[in-house]
Amino acid sequence: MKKNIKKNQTGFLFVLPSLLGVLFFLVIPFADVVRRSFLGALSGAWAGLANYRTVFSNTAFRLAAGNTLRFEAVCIPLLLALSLFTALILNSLKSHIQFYKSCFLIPMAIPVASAVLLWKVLFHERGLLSGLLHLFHLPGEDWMRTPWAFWILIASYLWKNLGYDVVLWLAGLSGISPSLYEAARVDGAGRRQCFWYITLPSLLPSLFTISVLSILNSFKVFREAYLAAGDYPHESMYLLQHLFNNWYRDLSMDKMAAGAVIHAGVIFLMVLTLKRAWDGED
Amino acid sequence: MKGKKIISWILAAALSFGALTGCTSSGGGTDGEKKDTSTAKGRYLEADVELPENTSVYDMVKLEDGTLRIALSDQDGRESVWNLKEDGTSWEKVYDMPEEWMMTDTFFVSHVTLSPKGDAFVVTSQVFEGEEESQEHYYHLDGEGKATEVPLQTENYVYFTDYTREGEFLVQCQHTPVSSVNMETGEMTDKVSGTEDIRYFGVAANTLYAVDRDGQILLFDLLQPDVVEKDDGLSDSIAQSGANTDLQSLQTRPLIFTEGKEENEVFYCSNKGLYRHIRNGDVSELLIDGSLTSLGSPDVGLITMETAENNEFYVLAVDSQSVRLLHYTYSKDTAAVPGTELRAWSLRENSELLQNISQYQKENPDVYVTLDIGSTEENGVTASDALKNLSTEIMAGNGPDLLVLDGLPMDSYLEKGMLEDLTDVADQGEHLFTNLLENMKQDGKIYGIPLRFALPLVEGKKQDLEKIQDLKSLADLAEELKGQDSEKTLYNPYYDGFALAAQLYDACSPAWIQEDGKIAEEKLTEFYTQVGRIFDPESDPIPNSNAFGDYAATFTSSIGGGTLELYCDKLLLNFGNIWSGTDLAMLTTTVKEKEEIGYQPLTGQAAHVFLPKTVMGISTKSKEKEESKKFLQFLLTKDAQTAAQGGGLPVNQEALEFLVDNIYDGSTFGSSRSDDPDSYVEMTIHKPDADAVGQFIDYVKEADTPALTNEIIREAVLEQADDCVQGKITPEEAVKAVTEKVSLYLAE
Repeated sequence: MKKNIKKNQTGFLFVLPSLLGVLFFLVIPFADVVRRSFLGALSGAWAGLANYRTVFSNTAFRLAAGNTLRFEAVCIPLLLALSLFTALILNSLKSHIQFYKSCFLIPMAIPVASAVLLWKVLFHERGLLSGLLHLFHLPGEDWMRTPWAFWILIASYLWKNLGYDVVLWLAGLSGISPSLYEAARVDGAGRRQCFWYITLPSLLPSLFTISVLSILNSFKVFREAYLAAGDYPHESMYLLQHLFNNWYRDLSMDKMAAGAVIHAGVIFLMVLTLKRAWDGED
Repeated sequence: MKGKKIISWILAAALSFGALTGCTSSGGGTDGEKKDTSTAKGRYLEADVELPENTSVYDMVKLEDGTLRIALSDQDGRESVWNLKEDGTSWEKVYDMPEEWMMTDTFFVSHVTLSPKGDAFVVTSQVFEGEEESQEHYYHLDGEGKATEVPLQTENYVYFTDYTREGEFLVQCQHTPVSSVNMETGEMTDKVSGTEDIRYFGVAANTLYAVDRDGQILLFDLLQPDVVEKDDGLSDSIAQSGANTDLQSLQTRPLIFTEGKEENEVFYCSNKGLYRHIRNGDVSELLIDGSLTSLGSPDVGLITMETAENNEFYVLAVDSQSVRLLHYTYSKDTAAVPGTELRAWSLRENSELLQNISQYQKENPDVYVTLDIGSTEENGVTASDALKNLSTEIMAGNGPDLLVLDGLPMDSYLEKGMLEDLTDVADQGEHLFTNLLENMKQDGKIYGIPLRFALPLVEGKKQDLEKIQDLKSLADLAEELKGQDSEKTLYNPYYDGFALAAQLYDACSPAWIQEDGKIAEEKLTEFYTQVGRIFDPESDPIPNSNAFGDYAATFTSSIGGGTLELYCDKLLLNFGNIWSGTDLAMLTTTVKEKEEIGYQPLTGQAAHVFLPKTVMGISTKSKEKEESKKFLQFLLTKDAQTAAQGGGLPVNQEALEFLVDNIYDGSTFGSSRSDDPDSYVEMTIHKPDADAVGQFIDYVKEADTPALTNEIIREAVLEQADDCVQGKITPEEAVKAVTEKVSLYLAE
């Protein structure tokens, strides 16, 4: 028992620097954000729930929150399904798996600025897409200034993150014992049955991790959106980060703090829901 | 096991300590440095040596006996040479230069260079009617002022001249190396080869300091002319100081040099200050901080400098109004760094404010004012990022005391209680256009005081001007005039749709925001519709490659260019903002010389509009509120307001009258299209008379509606203008695009 405590103490000491880092650079700053969400921006006077009321009644916040939720609702299931499908195909390949894996990971290695340049080349009014449509006598458009901007954002996210999720799914797939499939086949199971009754249940533990990571990665898509369309993009791709960015510029720290607390709360709830679902499956 | 535990403790402690100290070390160091310098004593103070009245100085030199000598031209255009008396404040004339050198319309003295031995070299220029090039003559003056023509063997114009301490005369002509001149024969001997491409030079002791096109300093030993050296320490020091080494005119040099008493000791001066350097030393020592004196003022150009007894310095410089002789004396009792520091912040460069800071610091040696610029061409920071940096500074408690609110979210700052009530400052100002300040008030208080303004005007035939009541009637008139005169364009042909909308923007923008803070879509649709009607498809704008970034925010919409074209009978109508006394002189000259032409305030979708510029605010978080208010009061005085660098007209009426009164009567302005040299037009302007100034001041006093200064709205509106006037999108589509972008901004 004593030995176990000592062992735990040693382990704790090794993670202590990281814990201190998280404490000083995340927990304490976030606690300060929570505190500020109840105060005036510069005066520091107690504002109660006024900042929250202001944020909830703010049409820009409602639009940004709606867009962000819509983005999550569309792209996370899409990404999970597409990446799983791709991982299954790759897993069934006999050779060149490493090569294909690398191919799918290449988008992750492309710097954001280069990706943005690619966006502009493709979706500018005189870009490749408009040029292609012109061949069929269809009018070109500045696609980033149309409702298509939202779908360009989705496509960009999928393109960039597909490889990462594929690798995670492949890791999960490699953990499934081949003997399970052999035994199932001996019992007469087909490919579909193997997938439904062996692969999918075995991948459920990975699903939680991949989902959380995908949700967190989805917030990074703001970098591309911001670099491509600036502070005020088309309203379909106006995300919460745009709003926070602009509030920060205008010194609206009170609204920003309240908005950040609400945002963090929603993410926390989403992760908890996923965790509960996963625990329930366990 | 025990060893493992010890290692883990040590690692944990080291990493934690590293993480925590990493955040604070630099801040602590800075504070420490500040503390040290704040207690140190001793600083050079600046004083102006009064020059003979109504004169303009060409050159200054220290004679071998230590007397300071200047060569000047008086108000009648007569050149003479003067010595500074021993009292250090008054002058005695040594001799007059020949009377036949007096300035006329076709003859003038272009260079006078004084020698430490007492003689001088003079270049005169004669302009012949109908000829583009002038003819130069060269003279040598002995110590008594007796002139002898020097048959200088050059066909090129003289650019730079200087004497060595030994009295050897050096000259650099256009595209030629620095040469030594034999005054009797006029023979030019290449003194230092390899100086053909240098930009300018200075001489200290027996060394020629040549500044090349990259700002590098090349040293030429005048006793061994073919030896070229580089002083990396000197070049690096100049580069690191951030000194501007670009040549602005042939009268001034960005860097000037003079020798010290010690061997290899050289003093040099730039807009960053006066430095001491030991040849081939690694660093230069800053003796006089440019930012604390006139040297750092953007309108000051350097002519020459000399050392004097007791480690004093004289710098001959020219500012926007006159030549000045600056005298620097060391005061051991003055704090090395002023006790009070005021920090001002501006989104963009502001030359007038920099000039005012120099003036204020000179009058208040105990105050140090710094101006931080958020977005410059050099740092490449966007306006949005600059504002975020400012927010970070404010939230960290390091915010500025004073804010130039141009381009800043003033409403948001007001809502947060960020801006101090400045009503008392505005009330104490004298001779101000109170109407301009009154109309900046919110809830009876003024939080931002405009130091400058621009006024939208329209210029054209008097009978046409009578028809202009609003934007629609202007558009009606434009349609009526189109094609009436094939020799003239309707308006400035350089305008594309963007520029056309920008010229009309300020006279219309106050009508676009409803009482509920939302965009008045009908009014904006009307704006695009009428601008589309005014747009002349026959106009021939120069392709614009700058229409990105902050271009919309920094486009000045000046009326000046169009005035020149209208004066030369190339336009029917001209409109835009008047920014300077020169713009006004161009307008009044046109009106005076062409009876049928007149001008009036431009009524677009709003009447009596003015555009506030350099709107100053004081932060409520400032620890130096009283000193900031004093500085702001100074900024409203006539002395400060006469700074004129193109940033707008002064809000001080006396300063405006002074600026107009000091316009050089007979200045010529010309311009041509970069892609068509034959399009050259020019006009000679005259000082406006009292009636003309009075009429303009009346127009200013009528202004009571500030134009929209929000840059996000300006950018959004102007962004759509070109496509709209060219028919690529309808006014309704343009408005939809604007409101989509702006409504997000307004909703935030």
